[in-house]
Amino acid sequence: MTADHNSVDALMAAITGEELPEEARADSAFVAEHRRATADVALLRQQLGIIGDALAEEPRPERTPAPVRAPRDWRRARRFAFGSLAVAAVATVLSGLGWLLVQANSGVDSMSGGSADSASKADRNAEAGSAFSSPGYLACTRLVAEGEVTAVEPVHGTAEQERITLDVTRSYKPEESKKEVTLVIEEETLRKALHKGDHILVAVPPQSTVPDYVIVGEKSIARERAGLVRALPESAGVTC
Amino acid sequence: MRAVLALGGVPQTDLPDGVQQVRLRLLERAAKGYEAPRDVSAWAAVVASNLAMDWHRSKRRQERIGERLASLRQLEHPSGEDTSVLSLAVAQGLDELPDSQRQVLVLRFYADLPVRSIADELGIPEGTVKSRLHTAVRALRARLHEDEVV
Repeated sequence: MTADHNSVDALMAAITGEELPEEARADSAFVAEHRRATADVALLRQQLGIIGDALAEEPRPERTPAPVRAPRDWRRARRFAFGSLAVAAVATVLSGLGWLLVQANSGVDSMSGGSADSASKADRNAEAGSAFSSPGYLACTRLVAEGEVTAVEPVHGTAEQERITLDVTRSYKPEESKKEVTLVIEEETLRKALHKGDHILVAVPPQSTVPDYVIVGEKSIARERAGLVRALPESAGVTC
Repeated sequence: MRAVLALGGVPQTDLPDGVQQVRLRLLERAAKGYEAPRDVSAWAAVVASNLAMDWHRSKRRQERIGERLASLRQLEHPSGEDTSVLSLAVAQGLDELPDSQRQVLVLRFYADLPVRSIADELGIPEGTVKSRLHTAVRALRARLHEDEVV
């Protein structure tokens, strides 16, 4: 199930997200095993998100017809959850007890809401390898692109979704995409709503218009870009 | 936060208590005059995972998340779906893992913490974290492939 290459273990590399040494990358059998391991780890990560979100949901007193809305997306829910906590982390730099107040107000227990443009999250992504740096994850996307939000409008029939128009300035996958794409953002996961003029990086799963990830702001996007560019070629050989 | 507790096996009815305890730890930390955590989200995830571990020890019981997920899934997806089958298989696999392995697995793949941060926060060597992760993932992988879920 695992393969070694001079002390580099394919499964361990997939778990830690560490880059493979050059000589390991030249070993096709090792690379193939690493791809399989990366895909399995990505699947496990996804399933933990699904299971965690399902178990964490407040019990519903009774089942009533739900308003029309897109399926809950575990990956974004998780991202924004840590975004909200990261907001508190930034506040700590400013004053002694400030962080506690922010923490109490923003909700340690909240699994939604917050800023996607958080240095703390981005730092951790840079260190650990975010979804944008994961060939396994990228293989399971139809669109990865950055651009400028040119329009934000509510989706009729729901108070929780917004439709945005994105003027694509750089498409990573596919290499050439439409100049303008329309995406749906769930408001409940966004404490800080998107606005016209925001520069964002999105990853959209197959057959969907709801992005898994929305990174806001040039600074945060810049942190993701190197890992994304590095992981894209490898993702082409990974089966979703 | 609730998810980290739940994945650690804290029963749903106890989740609000668990969340309160994390808040209390924050208050205690501030009251003692400690410097704020550098990464509050990481800190809170680790505190929650430690609480889940303590929960098991004190209550001598642990919710089987596979069973709970199965009951939820019957409500959500009465017709059954491949995704549900896979989620159930993973949840059952998590139930079979030792607490120490499940804790690092949740911190690494749900909370997205780097191995080094997990080691720092738990006060254990990085090699131990890697070893637990490797063993846990290998076991889950083997289980899913043997069951032909993936």
